[in-house]
Amino acid sequence: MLKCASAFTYELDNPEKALNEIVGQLKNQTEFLENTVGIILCHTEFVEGGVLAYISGKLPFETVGATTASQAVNGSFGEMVLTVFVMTSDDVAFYAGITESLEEDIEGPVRLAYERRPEGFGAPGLAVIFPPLLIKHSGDEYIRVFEKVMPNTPLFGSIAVDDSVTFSGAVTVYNGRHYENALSFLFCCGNIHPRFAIAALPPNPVASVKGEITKSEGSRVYEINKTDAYSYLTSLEHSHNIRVINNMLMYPFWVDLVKRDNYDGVPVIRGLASVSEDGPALFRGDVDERSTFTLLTCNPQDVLKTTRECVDRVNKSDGINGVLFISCIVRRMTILSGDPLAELQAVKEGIKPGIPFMTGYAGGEICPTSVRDRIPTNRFHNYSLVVLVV
Amino acid sequence: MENDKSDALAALTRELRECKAENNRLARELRAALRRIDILRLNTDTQFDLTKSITGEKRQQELYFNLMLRLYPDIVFVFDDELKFTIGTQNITDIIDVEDVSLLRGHTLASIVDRYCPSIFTDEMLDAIERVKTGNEKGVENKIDISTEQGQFEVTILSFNMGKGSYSGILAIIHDITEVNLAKEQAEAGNRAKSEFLSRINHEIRTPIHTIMGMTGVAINSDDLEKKNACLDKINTASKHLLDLFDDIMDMSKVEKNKLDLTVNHFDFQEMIHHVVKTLRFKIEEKKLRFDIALDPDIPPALIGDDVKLAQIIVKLLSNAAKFTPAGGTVKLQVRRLQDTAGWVQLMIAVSDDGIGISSEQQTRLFDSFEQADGSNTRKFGGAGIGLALVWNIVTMMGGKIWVESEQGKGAKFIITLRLKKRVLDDDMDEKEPVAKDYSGKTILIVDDMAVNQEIIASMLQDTHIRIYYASSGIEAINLFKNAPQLYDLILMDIQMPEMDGYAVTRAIRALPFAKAKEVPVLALTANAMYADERLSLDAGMNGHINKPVSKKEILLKIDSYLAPLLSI
Repeated sequence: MLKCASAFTYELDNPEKALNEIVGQLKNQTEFLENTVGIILCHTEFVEGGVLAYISGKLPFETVGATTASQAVNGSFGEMVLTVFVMTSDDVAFYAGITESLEEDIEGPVRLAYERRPEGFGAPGLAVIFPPLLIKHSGDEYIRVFEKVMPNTPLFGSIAVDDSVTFSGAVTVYNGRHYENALSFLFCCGNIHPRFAIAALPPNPVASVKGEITKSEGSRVYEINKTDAYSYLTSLEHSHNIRVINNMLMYPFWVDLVKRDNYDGVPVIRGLASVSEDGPALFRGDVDERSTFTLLTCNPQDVLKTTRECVDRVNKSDGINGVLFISCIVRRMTILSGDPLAELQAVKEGIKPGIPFMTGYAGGEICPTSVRDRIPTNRFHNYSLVVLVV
Repeated sequence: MENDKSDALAALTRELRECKAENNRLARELRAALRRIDILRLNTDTQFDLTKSITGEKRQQELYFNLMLRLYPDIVFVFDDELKFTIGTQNITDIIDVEDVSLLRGHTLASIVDRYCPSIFTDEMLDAIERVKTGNEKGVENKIDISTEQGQFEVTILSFNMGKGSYSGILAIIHDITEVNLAKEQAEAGNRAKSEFLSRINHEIRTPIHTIMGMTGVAINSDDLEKKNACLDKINTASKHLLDLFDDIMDMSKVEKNKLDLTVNHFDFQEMIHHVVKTLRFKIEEKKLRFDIALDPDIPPALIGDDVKLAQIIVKLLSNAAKFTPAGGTVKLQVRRLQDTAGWVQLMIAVSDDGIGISSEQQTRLFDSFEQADGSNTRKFGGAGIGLALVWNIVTMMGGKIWVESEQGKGAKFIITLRLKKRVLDDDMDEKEPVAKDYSGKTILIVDDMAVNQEIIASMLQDTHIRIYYASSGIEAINLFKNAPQLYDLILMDIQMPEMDGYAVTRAIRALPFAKAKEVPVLALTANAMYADERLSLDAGMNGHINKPVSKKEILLKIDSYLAPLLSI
């Protein structure tokens, strides 16, 4: 049996009061079973003010998570808030932890963390991960490493962010302590059957533009349609009024990663991080050679529409114990800049009453695009809302 | 005292804590505000407001633009000043093997040609693009026609400039003219064929007319009765040839307008064949050709179908065979019963000769309207060139098939297979030759401005003893009828008359205030043989239509159908 619960607090000055609020809300929802773990998302103020440390130290279970920009849970949604999503079970084992620094290497620390799992802890049926925001590593790298260390494990995750422009305060958390370079994780093993959903942006092309990546290396794209990336992207200015401004192109790329062995027919969204005249275009995730892409629209209506549709899909599912929604920070910070809490509100008001949930924002989303014969196609996403249903 | 101090201290501590908390709160809010300002500044700096970037209106414009690119019938390439492809119509994928046209974006023209080898980019086209590109004036246009394996195209190349510092480049618009050219060629071919046909018709008409006029002259100037009879025979033959020709032309006209109808008659197949043979035997033997006939004795004698058209096509095939076989050759007619199915019999009719034969190339055009296999044969053998087309159409209408087996110089064999319904013989239903009935006491009015036509009809009706009145114009006919409406039992009305045609005369008679004016049968007697003309006759108030030239049989049958019931009164 698996049960879930969620709680929140806005209390930043009185840690004890904050703790009482959390505990009180949790007790009203469920009793704790044999194994319990909490996923925490919080504003950086909770980290800097010590409230996170206090709460995590007092809670009777381990906690993992990361900072974020704003969240929603069953009782509330807002910006400077700490939310916790609790899973408790008598037939699912949880292994929460933090890796060593990923500054130099990802695989080593991840493998070490996995090998340190408790005795008897079998192959995870779900891995929830919170990678740190490290520019040198793309989200695809985390997926490659985890698939190597834990093959066929569905991965669900959120790259830490905060509500600043530079994400300078973004950290991952484990048991109240915060880390800039380490990955916090939660592995679940036992009677757990996760389901996933993705709400990317609608396939409305912003222009009749379709390109082919003709030269790339990871997230660095050198050529598009056999033209250097800069020339190609800037040429869109005249024909389609799509401007490269401050080395950024905000329109999301809808990319068919068709050449991958495990391509399951589902394109992913890729954001362009930067492009310069004398260098490659840097994307926010790997873009394979010979992939084709389409540029999509991304206005607030599109974002909210896809969010609501996704929530509707969740509501129609059976056997839900709890739901985690992770949305891309760009949806909040840039697309919905006029009403940054609109998406959270849409989730809170749309989810069926009685279903414990938590929603937060990420600097990159990790979620399988499909699971077939228990084999997941794990993918890294940009500009998307990803959902874990347990 | 001590308590007061303690209370004051506690209150102060509380106040300090509250201030600190408030301070912290304000500090947090300040930090949050600063973060929000940073975000706003970022969004403002990028001049990027996604709420306005793709509005509903812009998206609609984009959709329409994309729709246009998808549906525009011509192929359009837009290159920039460096001849790099920017946008184009989606139908570019019809000529270049690429999944989506925007995958060409950024490719230079040279790399597109090199990578995809599209045949559309001929040397002429590439030269034209280069000329426009290097042209000194903007707006320079170059129009060329190109021919490729994919078809023929009219290509317009022009340069454009959206304004100083703005976008400029080269536009190539490719318009497919393959179908237009094909239609033009076909029209020209059709016109040529029709011109040749008219030329042949001219010859075919002049020849018998020349014979008629010539023989008439000879007969007039001769006192020799035998010579006169010989001339009359030739005039008769030439007249029949002319009539056959006109019948063919009219039938072909009906075929062209899908108006040729088959009639359903009960007939004796052997009798029909004998009639055909009788018609042609003289012609064939005159040319010293051997004529072999092989009729399958198992062919059912009584059949149902259009015997007239069937005879027509066999006559045509035999005539052709005789025409294209030199003296001493052989013409064969073979009819064989193939198989029966549920009341139908399938027959094979083959007409073969050992004449000049038909090459395979000529066979492909053999059954086309207005064509002769070899135009030069017209000069040698004559013929209007519509006979085989008519044969093909009639056979097809009958649900049959016709084909030819032949080699140049080795004769030809035309084979027809078709099904005819078997008739269950019933003596009462046997057709008899019409016998002129006795219409003594009946009166007929013949309205025709040509006295000779009046005479011809009168002679045909001689044996009926019917009383005949004549009117040479519409006005005269109306007056005659007005003066004695009860007198006339039937009116035969010519159509083509000066001042007042037969339709107008009939309408005028029908409008007269006599009951008989509405009842008297009026039959059109006219050379206008088209279906539309029959409709005109009926619409004018006429009861029926007899085509000129009339035969005695036909006119007697028609009159019987209108006068015979009256005999019982």
